[in-house]
Amino acid sequence: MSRAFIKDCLRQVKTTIHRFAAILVISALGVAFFAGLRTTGEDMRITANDYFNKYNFMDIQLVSPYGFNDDDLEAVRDAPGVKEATAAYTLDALAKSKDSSLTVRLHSFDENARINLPRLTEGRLPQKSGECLVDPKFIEMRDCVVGDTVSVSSGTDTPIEDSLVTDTYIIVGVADYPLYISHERGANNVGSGRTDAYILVPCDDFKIPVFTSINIIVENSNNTIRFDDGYKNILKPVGDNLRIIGNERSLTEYNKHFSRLQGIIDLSQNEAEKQAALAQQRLLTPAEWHILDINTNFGFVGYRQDTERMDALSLVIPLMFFLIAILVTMTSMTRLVESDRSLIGTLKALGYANRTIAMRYLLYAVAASLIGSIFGLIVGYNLFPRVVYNAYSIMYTLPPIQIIYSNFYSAVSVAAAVLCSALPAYLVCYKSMRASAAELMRPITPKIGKRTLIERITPLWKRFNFSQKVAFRNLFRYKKRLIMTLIGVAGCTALMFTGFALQDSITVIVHKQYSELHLYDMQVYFTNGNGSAESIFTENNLIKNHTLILSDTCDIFNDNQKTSVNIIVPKSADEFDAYINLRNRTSKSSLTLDDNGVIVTEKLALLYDLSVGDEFSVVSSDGAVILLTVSGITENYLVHYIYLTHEVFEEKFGKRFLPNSALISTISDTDKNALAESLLSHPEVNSITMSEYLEENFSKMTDALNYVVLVLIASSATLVCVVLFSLNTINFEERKRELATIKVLGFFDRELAAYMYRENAVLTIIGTVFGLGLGVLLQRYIITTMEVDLVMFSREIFFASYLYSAVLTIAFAVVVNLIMLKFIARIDVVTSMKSVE
Amino acid sequence: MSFILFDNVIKRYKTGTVTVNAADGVSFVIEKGEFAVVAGPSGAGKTTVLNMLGGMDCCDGGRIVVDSAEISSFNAKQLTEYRRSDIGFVFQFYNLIPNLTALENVELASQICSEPLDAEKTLTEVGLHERMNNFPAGLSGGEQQRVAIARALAKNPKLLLCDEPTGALDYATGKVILSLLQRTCRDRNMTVVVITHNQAIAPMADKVIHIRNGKADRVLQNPSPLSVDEIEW
Repeated sequence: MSRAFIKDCLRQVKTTIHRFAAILVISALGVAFFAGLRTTGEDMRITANDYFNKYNFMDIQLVSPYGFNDDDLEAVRDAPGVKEATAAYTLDALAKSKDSSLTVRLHSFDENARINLPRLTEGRLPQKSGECLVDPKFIEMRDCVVGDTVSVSSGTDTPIEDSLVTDTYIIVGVADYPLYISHERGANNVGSGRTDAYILVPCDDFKIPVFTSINIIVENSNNTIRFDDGYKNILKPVGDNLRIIGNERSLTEYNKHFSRLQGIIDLSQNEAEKQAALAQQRLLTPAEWHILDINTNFGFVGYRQDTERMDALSLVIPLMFFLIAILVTMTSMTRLVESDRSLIGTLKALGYANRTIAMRYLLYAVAASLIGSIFGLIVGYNLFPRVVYNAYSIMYTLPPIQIIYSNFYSAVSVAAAVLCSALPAYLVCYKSMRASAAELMRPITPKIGKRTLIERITPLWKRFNFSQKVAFRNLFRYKKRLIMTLIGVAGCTALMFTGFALQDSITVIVHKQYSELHLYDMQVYFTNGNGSAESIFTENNLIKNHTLILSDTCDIFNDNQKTSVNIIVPKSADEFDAYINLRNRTSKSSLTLDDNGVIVTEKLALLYDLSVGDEFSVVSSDGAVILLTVSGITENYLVHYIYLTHEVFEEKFGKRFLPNSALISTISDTDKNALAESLLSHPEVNSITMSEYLEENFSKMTDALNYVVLVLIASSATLVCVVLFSLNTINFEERKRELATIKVLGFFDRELAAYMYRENAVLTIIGTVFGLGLGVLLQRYIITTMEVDLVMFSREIFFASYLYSAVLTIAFAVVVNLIMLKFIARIDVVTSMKSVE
Repeated sequence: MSFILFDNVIKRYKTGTVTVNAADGVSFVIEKGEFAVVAGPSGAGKTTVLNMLGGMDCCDGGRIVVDSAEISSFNAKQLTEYRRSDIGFVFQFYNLIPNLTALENVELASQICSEPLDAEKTLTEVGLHERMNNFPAGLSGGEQQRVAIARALAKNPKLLLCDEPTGALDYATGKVILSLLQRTCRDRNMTVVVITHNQAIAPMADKVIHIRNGKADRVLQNPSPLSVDEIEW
């Protein structure tokens, strides 16, 4: 390659800087969005996995109804594949600080243990009895500081002193705990039934005779990611072994107890003692060990689902984004080479080899797309995962995200971007070079004008005026451009629309749930189930009305999923709609509870394919399997519920209906916090769940998703701008001579613009309409893939979303066309005199 | 006063530090209904003269008057109006809009001026009645140029400006076109200005203006112009 040739290549970039920049920017956008979003889910998983590794999060937790003793621990430690095992205690309790209490879970902290290490964020680790580490949520909810004291109580009839050496603890530090990556702390056996916070107390402070659990780290578990199937494969043989050991150990313990009791029965002189032992013996069964892995951790499962949601979101959208980008790159490159036809002829005539001439365009294409892609990779990998992760940080406690530069996605996206600009360049070039030099230097035969189909419909065609006819014919003449513009505009509109429509589906659900469906303000749990607390409500003039209910949980499962469901049994089904509105989502017609069966929430019905009249079984909280019939499906967005009358409850569950809580509506403008505090002062009241608090919590999740969607909208909007600009510039350059001729004929600039814009307008509008249609499909697909099992997104799309995405697309088109107006004004009429290029 | 007046017209092109005087004091007059040929070697400044006369470019000095209007003082909008209603252009490469039929190409021009001639009739006059619904790609070079002439004429201009009208055509076709232009000039009393480097066609003109080094070197009045059929090149 001669120096003049290289110089020419560089000048080519300089003179066509618009086009070079457009290819560069669009490659960057496509690659950034694709690689960035595609790796986000993986980045999130790796970050969590590294956190678990760093703080030695257990691989397996063994729990058993009878707990574990030292012999069990020894047996587990000797089991094949077990790298490390420690025994731990947990205890549910109420913790009081600053005059009000929280429902807490106490975990044992052993400074010598190397499993489940706390991540200290403030203060120091406990060193002696009576010191504790607390959850950051505890600090936040109770507004306390390191150095404050906490007093714990059992929340049951058994005094806490039976389980702990002390009931007063000094907070010496604040720590994150890898068992809880979600801000949601899970269930609790006492208090409100929901853990507000965890507290870590020294292991030696526990006086419980058996360990609650054995926590295990498996050999080689760090070699895989906890989210992968490989991890499950490593755990499986270890788990199987532990199950066998568990059976043996249980049997040994069973035999030991059995023979001890048998000894009492055989030897004791005391008849009462004998009878008691006999009764105990009858109750005695070998206890099974439950082998729990990370997939039973509430936070982990939620997080995993969220990363999978990101995977779902990043499956189609970035691909579409990328396709639009490369489409425009292809068009742009094709046009560049085509417009250089006579130059290629000249170079050929000068004796340059085909290879060298092709190189000129290949270098151009590769340089633009490669620089763009690399820039895109750097921005994409750093920006998108961070933005998404940042959004999710309102739901999860995890260290800062680790950015993974995926070789696979880098290679794929860069290769695709480069190929899609280099290949058309090469092909067009190759096509041109097959012709002789002389042929190339002659003007290209103009494309034959054709009558369009519409012209054959004479009555219609006659109604068009001259310019409309021209516009129509031009539209169909340049089919390639027509298709490109349509795809470009439609794609971008669809992406933007999807963003807006997702926002519609996400943002409204919390409001709908708590303002239209769950109308009560708080749920008050009683200390016992005899309903004696009711008088408190009738006396309080801030409470508008109340109804007694029994609330419980149950599990429903099939082969591939297991779901926890809330059961709500109202005392009176008649006035229930004042608290919870049961209705069909589409028809809005009310549903009433009757003795025919139970009403289930819509998402639950969806997950388990239930329709009215179907039978399904649930496992109640005390382990019984119960067969229920669906009598209705109600609109619901958050969590799953089964509603049933107390008659059905008593019949199916075989238990007496004992209301354990009440739903309360307050009169408007009530200070609900103050009311809750005053209610809690009654000994009959155990705890209170405020709808406001739930609403706030769920709002956080929807806010996170909303934020992610906002990124989508912004990215799509950027893409629309670049795509429209590129397509319009190409259109303009292709027709420069035609426009110049018309200008010579005496067309004013605005007439000239109208001549060109008529087509653009038609294409933009058709593209926008197509885009909205495509967007509806895309949104529907994404909604169903990214929906969490616990949540149902709204299927409603607001008119505003159609409007916004259409108006934005059209506005961008108008702006781009206004910029083109400058180009039109700058057309040199003398261009028309020159030969065809 | 003459129909067209070029009075010491100057046009300078600046490229970087170099200034080229493309028109360096061009002066000539053309009367109404005359067939004028502006001839000269390439680079002499013919095209510059055409551009200024056609209202596509403005001059840097001197006066250009067409039909009593001083177009050298026109602004861009006035120049566009001038091109629109007063000038008919015929280009070397025809410059037809490929996506319009012959008839529509003529309509494209006629629809923007106030007193256009009938497009179909004009096409018939240039001998293309049969082919008026063809697209340019389906026409020969000569036919395309005849469409271009029809397009120029349909505007009913004051002045027909032709830039190398035979430049892209073969000998015989070139003659047909020139003959058409000459006939138009005679029959309609149309002022026709033809720019060419082909000195051989000079004998058919009423007036020959030789441009050389940016000046009207010689202006020759031809009292007895030949018919196109009589000249050879």
